[in-house]
Amino acid sequence: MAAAWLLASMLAQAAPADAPSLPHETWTLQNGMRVILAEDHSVPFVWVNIWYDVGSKDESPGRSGFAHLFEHLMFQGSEHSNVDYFAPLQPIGAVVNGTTNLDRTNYFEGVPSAYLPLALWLESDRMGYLLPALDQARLDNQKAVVRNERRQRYDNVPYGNAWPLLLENLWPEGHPYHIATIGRHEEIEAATLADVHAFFRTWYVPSNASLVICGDVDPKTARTWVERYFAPLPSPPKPAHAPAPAPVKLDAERVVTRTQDVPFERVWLAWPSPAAYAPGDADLDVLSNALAGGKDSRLYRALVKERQVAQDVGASQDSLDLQSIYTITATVAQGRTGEEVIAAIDDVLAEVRRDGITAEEVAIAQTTYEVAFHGSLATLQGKADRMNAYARAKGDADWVAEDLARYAAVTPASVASTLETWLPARERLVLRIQPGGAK
Amino acid sequence: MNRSLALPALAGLALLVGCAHAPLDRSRAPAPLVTPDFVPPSPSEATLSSGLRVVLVENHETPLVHARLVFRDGSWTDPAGREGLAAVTMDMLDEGVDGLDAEGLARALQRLGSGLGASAGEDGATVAFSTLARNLDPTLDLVRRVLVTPTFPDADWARMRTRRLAGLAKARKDPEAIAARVVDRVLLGDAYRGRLVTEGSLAAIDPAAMRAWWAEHGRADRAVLFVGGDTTLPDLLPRLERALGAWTPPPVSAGPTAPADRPLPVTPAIHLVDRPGAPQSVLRVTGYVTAPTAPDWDALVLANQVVGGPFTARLNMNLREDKGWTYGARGGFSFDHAGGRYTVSTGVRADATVPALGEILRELRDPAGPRPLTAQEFEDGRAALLFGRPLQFENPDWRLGQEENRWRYALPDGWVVGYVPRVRAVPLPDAQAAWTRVVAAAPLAVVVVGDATSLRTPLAALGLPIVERDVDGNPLPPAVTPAKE
Repeated sequence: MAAAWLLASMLAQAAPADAPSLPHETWTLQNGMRVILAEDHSVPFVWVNIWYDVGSKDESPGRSGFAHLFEHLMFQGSEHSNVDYFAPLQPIGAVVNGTTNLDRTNYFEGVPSAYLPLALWLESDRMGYLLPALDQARLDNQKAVVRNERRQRYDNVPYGNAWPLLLENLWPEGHPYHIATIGRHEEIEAATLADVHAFFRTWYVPSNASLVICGDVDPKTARTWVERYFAPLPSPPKPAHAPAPAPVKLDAERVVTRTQDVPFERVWLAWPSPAAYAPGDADLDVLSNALAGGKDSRLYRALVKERQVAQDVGASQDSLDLQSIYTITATVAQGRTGEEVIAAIDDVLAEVRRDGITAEEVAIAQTTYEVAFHGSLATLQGKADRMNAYARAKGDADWVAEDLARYAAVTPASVASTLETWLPARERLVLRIQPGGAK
Repeated sequence: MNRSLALPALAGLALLVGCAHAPLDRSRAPAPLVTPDFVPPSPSEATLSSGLRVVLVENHETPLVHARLVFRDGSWTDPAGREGLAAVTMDMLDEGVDGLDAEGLARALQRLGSGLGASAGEDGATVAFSTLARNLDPTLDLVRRVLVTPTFPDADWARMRTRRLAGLAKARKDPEAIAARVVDRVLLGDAYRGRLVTEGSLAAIDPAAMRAWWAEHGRADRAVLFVGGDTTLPDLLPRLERALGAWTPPPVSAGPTAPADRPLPVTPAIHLVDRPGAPQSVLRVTGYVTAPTAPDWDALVLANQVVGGPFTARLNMNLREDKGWTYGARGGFSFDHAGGRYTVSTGVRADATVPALGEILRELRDPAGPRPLTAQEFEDGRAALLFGRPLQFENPDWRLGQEENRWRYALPDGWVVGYVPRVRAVPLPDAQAAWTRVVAAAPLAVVVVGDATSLRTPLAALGLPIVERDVDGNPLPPAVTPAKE
């Protein structure tokens, strides 16, 4: 134990010397749009990265998948550039994409730095003038594309329906996280142009947007171009999300079993867990590393190496706005059963509940996260996205030191307390996907 | 990057406005700012006293060092009957070293914030590691122990073999994995990438075979160490000498540097793999049509910028943005020891399988006939490659990967540094001619992984022979033609 404590304090002291930070300037336009500007001259490229504070949790009933479908529509052209969004960007070697999750939607293009004005022109045009370019044909085409995406990433993939099943069974009907972001086929199909107009007018307003410009820019020039294209866009006040539902806690074990065309059973244990950045969030990341972070982790040793009941095992905290999801998952080994796997996981969890994790395990997880932080800031896109994430959650794009401090503050005692509060032995969801016909 | 490049790229933007002070006119795209000069980082090189070549690309933005020790030999060296040997040997390399079992090694690495993984692909093997620059020395010492004293414990192999067997079962249920395997078997038969790892070949492998493979192939004179990140050659070399200077190749002579296997001649045909009830068909249209050393390689890559490369290329705009049949369709060139492949990859809604294949085949042929590459498409495609080039240097990985390819596939010296002038020099007629000769005229194999019951009859409309195969790519006896209803 003494050696472990020593190691922990060594690591804690070593970290600040290399501590990353995200220097930037920031201001808010009169219409409410936040702008964050960070210079990085490593390559002559610049990233324009916009987050809209809307995700699939904000969809109307019967319109699951809409926030993501809408993201696709943002690439179909706008009033003054009424061509595919990629068309003017591809010939300058740009990297272009967007992503939607339960909480937020982001758009980004990495362009040669001389083309910053072009990227700002395009982004501002779809922020201000999307609707005149959108017609039924474009909507219908992207409904088809999104449904193909669902087939490719969920329907036609072994275990691909697990995530939607987890959400549907963990969160009650009507909860904002009840349906996965990709949505249901029939609800994607049901989307109308009227839905598109209403969603755009509510959520795609400058006051609900945050722009990061990160890369090879002269801040003065960049500021001029931002003001030119974005400042004239009018904006109503920032839209409000629906009031957060009461925190979900399961009051009993819920077991859901499905069959699919898979070779081995896979099991998921899932719990509603603390929201992103809330007390306990970092504890669960540290716990995940102790449980399943490599060959020396507790679950790997017990399930894969010693008892050999599972082929693989994972644990993760999916951090979300309202409440997060903590999951432990394992694929059953040939000739073994889901019951054996669940029993083995329970034994390991019981041991952790009884004895806690060690100071060394905490120290190792802290180092792992420190390295992951550095790695995530190694690209312009990684930096831009992280600045927008921090700005949205914490109002400070350079919240790195504070974020690392959350992990540095984790102790075996804090992990034990979070485990006790949030991961009860019985009140949880058990999802089992077993070999058989699709059902 | 060069200012003269600004013109062709802007061909797509009809009207330009000058500066940020003119009155705002949203109907016009703004003109670009001044393009800064950019000098890409160059690798520096040295050779250790053991003969190990070291290539470094510096990057001091984060305090991390990433390294890949790459070997010439991969699964292509697997002896007949022991397919999978290279892959499992590399996988077992970090399952324990002299004085540390797998868990001990994993823990020692994690304490340092370091990662290490070993793997083999068809064309080579790799020990990859990363660390905080401050922990480079202790990490290198663990790397040395992995290279010099791997233990290949029996118990760990028994467990890993079980997992590998499970892996075979999983791959047979995964449509993307099935398509990849069937393509290799169609193009190469039972040679090189076409060979199957089976339950039988895994059963024939034991730790003694792994020790022998590693002794023969894990050699400093058939390896290069590529390093990227927060270090310099003067800082790095003494550390490497201390850790790896004594890792010298055995006196036995090394074997050939590459497999001699060549692709089979392609007979145009549809290879159909049944996945009953699949909501989507996974499609590949492919063949070995050229080589990276062919004089028209760059012309082909440029032509593909129009046909299949970027999002806005003809294939994706047709199948996704016009027809709505897919989430994405791309075509691209790749190369390996058997030559240069062209492959179209997509997944389409099951009921669109036949028309989608018809459109893909038409898009590949059309540039040679009714729809030649236009000047606008071609210059946009060229500009995309040239303008996007500096981004490849954001991190050392891409540059080092190019250097690895040059070494592994004996590519010419100017492969990387001569790229920009080469791509700039290709005239449209050359690209048009190369595409017409090499891709449009090539016999290509079609692989379909989907619901055979509903596809069998309509696929016949494409006029190609249909060969049904199992999920491992083995041909099945011809199916009985279902009676017309």
